[in-house]
Order: sequence, then structure tokens, then C-alpha cells
Amino acid sequence: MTFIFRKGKLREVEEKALKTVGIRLTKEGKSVFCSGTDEERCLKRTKRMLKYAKRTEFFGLPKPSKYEKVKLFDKRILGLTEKELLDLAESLITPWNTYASFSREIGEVEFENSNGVKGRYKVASLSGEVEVKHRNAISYESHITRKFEDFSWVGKKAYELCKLSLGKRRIRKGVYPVTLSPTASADLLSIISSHFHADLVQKGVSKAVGWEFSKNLTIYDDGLLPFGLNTAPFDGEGVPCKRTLLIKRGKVKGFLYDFTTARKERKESTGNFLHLRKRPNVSERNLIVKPRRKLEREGIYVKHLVGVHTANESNGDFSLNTENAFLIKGGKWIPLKNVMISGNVFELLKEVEVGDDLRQEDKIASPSLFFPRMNVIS
Amino acid sequence: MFFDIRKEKKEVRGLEIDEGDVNTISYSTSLVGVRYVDEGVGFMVSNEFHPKMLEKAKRLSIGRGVRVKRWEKVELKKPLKFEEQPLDLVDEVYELLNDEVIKHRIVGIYEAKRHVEYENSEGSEASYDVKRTNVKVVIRSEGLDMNFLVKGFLNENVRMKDIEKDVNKLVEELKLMSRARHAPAGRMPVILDPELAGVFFHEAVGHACEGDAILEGTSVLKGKLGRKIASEIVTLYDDPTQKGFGYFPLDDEGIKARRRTLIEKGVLKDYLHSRESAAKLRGIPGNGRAESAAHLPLPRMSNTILEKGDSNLQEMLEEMKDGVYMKDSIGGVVEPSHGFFLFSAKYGFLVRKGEITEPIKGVSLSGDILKTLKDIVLIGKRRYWVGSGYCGKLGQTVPVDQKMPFVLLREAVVGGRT
Repeated sequence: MTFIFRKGKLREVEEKALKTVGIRLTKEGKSVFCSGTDEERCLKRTKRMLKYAKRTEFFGLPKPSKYEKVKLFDKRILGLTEKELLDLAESLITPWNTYASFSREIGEVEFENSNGVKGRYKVASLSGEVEVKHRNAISYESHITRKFEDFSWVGKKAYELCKLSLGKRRIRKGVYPVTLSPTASADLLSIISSHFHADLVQKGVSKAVGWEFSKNLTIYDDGLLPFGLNTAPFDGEGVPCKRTLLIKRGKVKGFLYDFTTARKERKESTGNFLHLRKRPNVSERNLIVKPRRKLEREGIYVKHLVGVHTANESNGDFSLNTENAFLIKGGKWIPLKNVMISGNVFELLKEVEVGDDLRQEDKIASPSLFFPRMNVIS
Repeated sequence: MFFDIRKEKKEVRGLEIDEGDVNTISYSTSLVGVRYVDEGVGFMVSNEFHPKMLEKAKRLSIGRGVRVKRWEKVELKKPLKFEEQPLDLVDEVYELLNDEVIKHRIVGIYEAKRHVEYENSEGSEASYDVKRTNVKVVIRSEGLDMNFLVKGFLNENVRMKDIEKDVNKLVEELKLMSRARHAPAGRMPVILDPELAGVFFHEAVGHACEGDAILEGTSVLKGKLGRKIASEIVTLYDDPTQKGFGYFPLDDEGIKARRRTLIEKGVLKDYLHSRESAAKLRGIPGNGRAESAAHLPLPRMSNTILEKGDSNLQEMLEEMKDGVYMKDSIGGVVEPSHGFFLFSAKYGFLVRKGEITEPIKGVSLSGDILKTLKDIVLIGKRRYWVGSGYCGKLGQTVPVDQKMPFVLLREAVVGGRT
């Protein structure tokens, strides 16, 4: 159920009840995937696609294994009445609000394969996002959680940020110390996260192989993180989810595998197979940057990155706009106009300080990251 | 009171080769969206239609302050049968990519057939079919430079001759990128190729013309109707009736497609409206688009078309003297509320004394919409369909296209390495 507000007033209420089924069929060394809203139609189409599949080295399908009991479902979310949901939604609204939406999602995931693997789990989440605008300043905030939580801080935070962003000034282009907020840091990391997927590694196009990151950086993927946004007992092919160390104090220690990529290297799958709608993929579940210490905020602070999809995922080059950027000088926050940052994510992560304010709003959870030298254009 | 019912069946099939790994793509969805508008909007979505959905949608219409424009009843039947796209074309394209500069190749073809049915409380009844086929090629070099092609085709199958030239060009460009240096950063004159001109007019002007942004006060073009906002040589349309990738015969609110003039000789003439923004701003609806029947329509662009000018590329280079010539888009983004836009080019060239010199990469362009529109100095005399594109807004993606000439900007902020 979703509530949408425009200019602070409730306009739209949506309710969706949808089902998707995904099928993998393997026959004589050929494998095809298919998904859809209707099981029978889906199965028919899956068979028809077999003629296009190529015979490849076939490693079979996962066998049954024991799943860990994971904390991922909060009954309180399920128990919320329409009135209670509306109250939560309305708590997002502050002065200057231009857009707000609040949703509750409830779902159930079921899996089975011909080897006798079977599993099911329930998920429930709450999410809210707001946009606040006054004169030339605009700010956003969003939050998504699988635990029942208060949401009133989301609107208030955006409102405070908007107030702080009034009266923007220009800054000279140059090289500055830059701190990225947890969400901006996660966005920056999303540009290169696919370099930790085994399929890219096996094709020889992962830049992460052998790369020396800063000693301050430890990153792992945790499919079992209590109430993590993508926590699950098993992945899209029924393999138990687990915790995988990717970078330990700057050294690359591992990659993310599904069943097939793992078997190619005679390894175990890390439970990172995702099959949703289109083609199946290796994907991170909850990629976590290990928090370190409270950062001294000096230099430029960036709350949001804009246009992350324009970055070069292949080599990590980026040149991005920012929203809500500030110059912090002697504890004073001076809002900045039209700040753009550029560089290469891999190069920048050679020298980085890691904060302690960990936050997850998508697949990647990161604290603030501090870069002593970053290109800034205005 | 107003209600409408949208039903949609979509079937996607495709084939992708990723360095020897073959992936088949196949999904089919059936979606129904029932919208009831009183003072608020109630919206029910399911996989199959059920008569109770309307009642439920009515119960959800508890919001306030919504009005929708009433419009003429539409009766339209445009059934189309499509031949299946031969997917083995993927193998042929894959074989073309045999140059030693290529370290990694992905080739994919995806065919999406969509059948849409629409009815509403005004008595409209319509149905149509549309097919969109996409070809995607991604190549990477040893140094991990990347080049890609995404080309869309409307209601027809793709043949080798439609893409062969583009694929070969892709390889040549990758070689060029391998030896290109990083772009300089700063303010300078810029030539945009048709693809980037398309991204500019889409991001910078199109989004700022969308009725919801005007209503919410989050567009720099609010209150500027009838005012000069661009250089006099700029005339811009939105035209869903043209057979670009953004084509539709009927928008997702049951309004027959028609061309809108957004800018005429530099003067802002119109916004893009859904039924709601049209009702509140006294406009004409027809641009209410939704990603699928499971989404509520929003004011969106279709095919963005710039009227041609009278220059050629050589004249632009001479006029520019020193600057940057940018080619091929990676993507773009805009914040219409303060008019700041950004987009990235795959590569480009430094121009010195009117001559194209060395190649550059990692080049992006940003600026202020209103200033940049006035900085358009020359427009090319030949126009090209950009060929394919998808635009995202509030979590909804719709197909769009642009028909554009080359454009010379007096000044813009080029982002590269300082």
C-alpha cells in the first residue's frame, strides 16, 4: 500500500497485489530462464526458448542444505492498520514539502527445485521518501526498513537540510578534501560493486582483482544481516545466504558467486544469485563497509550524488553532480552552488577515511567516507 | 468522478551472449490497473481484472485537491500482428566483434510486444499493439575502456544491415578511446552531436516542461509561458505521433496523441500535461504516461524534436575556434527546480583553431538550463533520430526518442580532470 502526497496533501492511494514466478529449465546441458505473472504460460515459453540455448558445461543444480534462521520479518509491520499507515505517512510532511510517498510492502518468497530443495520466507518493509523545496534550495531524504520504526525524522531531516541549503555560494574549482554522506558513499561504491561479481572476474574484466585499496577499508557482503534490506535464508537458486569477506584492510579477499560461477572454480556458491524478471545475475545482498571512527568534518561535505547512472562502471571513472553540498569551515556549514565532483572510484579508494555512521538504504550500506583529495568543479 | 481501467499484456523474449555464455531472456506479464478519481486518486493493481477492483479503488480515493481534465471520448482499435524477431542475429553481430582490441563482448537482442486495452468513465474504448526491439552491444578493452550501443526499433524486426555500420563504428571508437586522454575541466564552447543534443533537450527542457513540476513549483520554467527562454533559432516539439521510439497512439489516460509545440523561435509556448496538470493549469492533456498498467500516469515526454537550423558541422567548428566537440551519450540527469543539468559523453575531441584535434574521454557537461538555452549559437541543417532511449522519473521508466541536429553552445561547464 502506498500513499502519495503532493505539496503536503494526500493525493493518491495505491494498492497492488502482484505475483511473479521464475522458472529455470535445464535439459541436455542447456539452461533457460523464464519469468512471468502466470505459471503455465511461463512454463510454455520456457520450453520454447530451449531452441536458442547453447549446450554449455553443465554443473547441475544446488542440492538441499540447511538454512539458518535469520531475523528478517517484523510482524508489527504486517499488523499495521490502514489508519496507522496513514499516520506514519503523514508524519513525513513538513513545511515546504513538495512530494512525499510512504509504502508498506508485504511479500512471500517460495523456492523449489528438482533436487528436492525447498524453502520459503516472508518479508515486510516500510519505506518513505520526501522532497522539500524552498526558493533555490531543494533537499531529499528517504528511508527503508524491515523493522517497524518511527518515520517522522525523515521529513524533519529533509526540512532542516533545505533550510541549511538556502543562500548558496559558488566555490572555485580545484582539489579539495571531500566527505561523502553515507548515502552518497553507497552510491559511489555502487559504480564499482559489480567488479566483485565472479562472472566479471572470470571474464577478466574485473579491476578489483589484485587492486590495493586503502588499509582503512574492510568490506563484506552479509546475506544474513539481521533485518538487512536483502537478508534471506537462501538466494534465487536455493543456496543458503552467508557472509563473505571481500576486502580486509585494503586487500581483496574474495568475490561473490552463484552456483555456476562457483563450480567453474570448484568453489562453493556464496549465495549471491538473483533472478528477478529479466536475466539472472550475481548480485550483492547487503554489501557492508565496516565502520571505523568518527570523522572530523572539514572541507567539502556532499549529501547527495546526482546521475550515478552516467558513471563508467567498467573502469570507475565518474563526473557527477551533487545536491546539498557544503563547505565546512571552523564548524560553520556554508551551502554551495552547482558542485560537481570527478575522478576514478578505484583510485580514490586508495586513500580514504571511513566514518562510523553506517546506514543502509539499498544493497550497499556505508558510513561517511572522507577523501583527502578530490576534483571539484563548480 | 472519473475512472479508467488499463489492461496490459507484455511478452519479452531475447538472447544475449556474454563472452560465450548464452542467456535466453523471456518474461510475460499480465497487469491491470484501475484508477478512480474523486477528490483524491484511488488505484488498484492486480494481475487479472476483477469487477470489485473499481469499488476498492473508489474506497482508496480518500485524498484531496485532485481534479482531472474531461476530454473527448475515444474509440480506437489498432491491432497489429508482429513477425517474430529472429534471435540468431545475436550470433552474427557477435562474430563481427573480432578485433583484438576487444577484451570483453556482450551482444543482446530483446523483443518486447505489448498489448494495451483502455476504457474509462467517458465511454472511451481503445486497444492497440506495439512492439519495441532493442539491440545492445557492449565492448571493453584491455584497459577497461568501454563502448556500447543501444538501438531501438519500433514495430519492426532488426536486420544486420540496420546495425552493421554502428557496430563497426563501435570498435573504431573503442580504439580511439584507448588512446584518448582525459578531458580538460572548465567553461568553454561545446559542439553537441545529435545524440547529446537529444539528451540536452530531453533533460534540460523536456523535464522542466512537465506539468507536475510546474504545479509543484519545482521547475525553472514555471511562470515563463509566452516569455523568451531560448535563443531565437530554437523551436522544439514533443510529438508522440512520429514513429520514433517514444511513439504512442493514445496516452495512458485515454487521450489521442498529438504534437505539442514547446518552444517557438525561443519563446516558451506550452507545457506537457497529464489530465491532472491540464485541469489545474488550463492546458491540453495527452502526455500522461505510465511505465505499465501497474503505475499511475505522470506528465512525460515522447519524441522530442528540434527544428533544423542552417549550419553544417564545419561551420560550427570554424565559429567555435577553440573548445570541445562531444559525441555519444552515456546518460544525463536534471534537477528542474534550480535548472542544473548534467550529462556524460562517451568521448569527444579537442578543437583548436576550428580544427578537430586529439580525442578525449571521461567528458561530462553541466550547466544552467536557462543560460545554456540562450547560449545556443548554431543549429545543424540535418536531423537524425537518436534511435532509442528510456527515461526514468519517480521510479517509472518509459521509452522516449529524439530527432536532433548538431548544436553549438557558446559556453558550458565541461567536467573532466582538473
